[in-house]
Amino acid sequence: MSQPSEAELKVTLFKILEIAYRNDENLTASIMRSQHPFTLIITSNGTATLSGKTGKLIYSVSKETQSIGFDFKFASFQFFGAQNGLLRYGASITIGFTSITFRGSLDVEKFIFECSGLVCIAARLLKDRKKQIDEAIHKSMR
Amino acid sequence: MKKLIIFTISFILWSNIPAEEKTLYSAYQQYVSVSKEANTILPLLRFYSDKQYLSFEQYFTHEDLKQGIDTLFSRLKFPNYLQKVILHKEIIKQNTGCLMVTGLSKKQKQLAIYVGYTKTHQWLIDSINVEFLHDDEKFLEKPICDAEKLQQKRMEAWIK
Repeated sequence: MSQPSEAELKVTLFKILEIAYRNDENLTASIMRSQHPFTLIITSNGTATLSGKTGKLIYSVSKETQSIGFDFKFASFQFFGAQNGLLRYGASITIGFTSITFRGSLDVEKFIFECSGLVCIAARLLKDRKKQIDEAIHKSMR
Repeated sequence: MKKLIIFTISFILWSNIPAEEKTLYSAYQQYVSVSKEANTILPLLRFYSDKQYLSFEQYFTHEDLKQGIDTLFSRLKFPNYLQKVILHKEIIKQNTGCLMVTGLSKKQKQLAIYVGYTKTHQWLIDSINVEFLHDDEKFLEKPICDAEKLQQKRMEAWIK
């Protein structure tokens, strides 16, 4: 990822959320569905911390941070409690000496369904699971 | 005669101020022009402040030097994010300055680049912030080069 685009960074974010989901489905869903704000912090050593009112999940995402580049330093995502199924967030990512910021929204139910429902289970059984998950991420991204 | 000498010296000193020091945008334009031509990282380094230079040195010691240099080189070409410039604004306070260049990305989406400058013998880049705007957002009226302050201002509007 020489000069990461907004779309590439968003896909990386959702992959990191998807990994949280795989690590602890119930806790991740409860944090994301909560009406309260929550944060996702990722440090240069590839540790992600998803933290909300219902709990905290710490997990490794070194493969995903490596895909951003060796000079990835820090990422901070602030999510605001879901309203009408939409979760608004603001992102700030430091790569080397450049800071990148953007805002977006996420369809919570679509995201959770894609990753826990039949579509996701079927996708996991398929060889091209990565493609399926990427497609699911794109569908829930705005 | 004495007055004429003083006037002549003053004029020479004033006219020797390099054009790029007069506005931040002209310094930025010069950087854009050099970065388009540059084949290596070296010609670009002279545009950066000591603070930034120290962070480059940190990366030069990275074990995979080639990958490091190539990646850094691509990062230094940050003006490439802007396919089309719409407008630019700047604020100068003594020896620091903040430039905002707004425009469109290759995908025709709104984008703003904020470049913080510090002045020594010329304006040097001290910080870079690339902002991808959401469709509902507008460009700021005034540039903000502090990434935290920028994000805070945007978030206040975003959650309303």
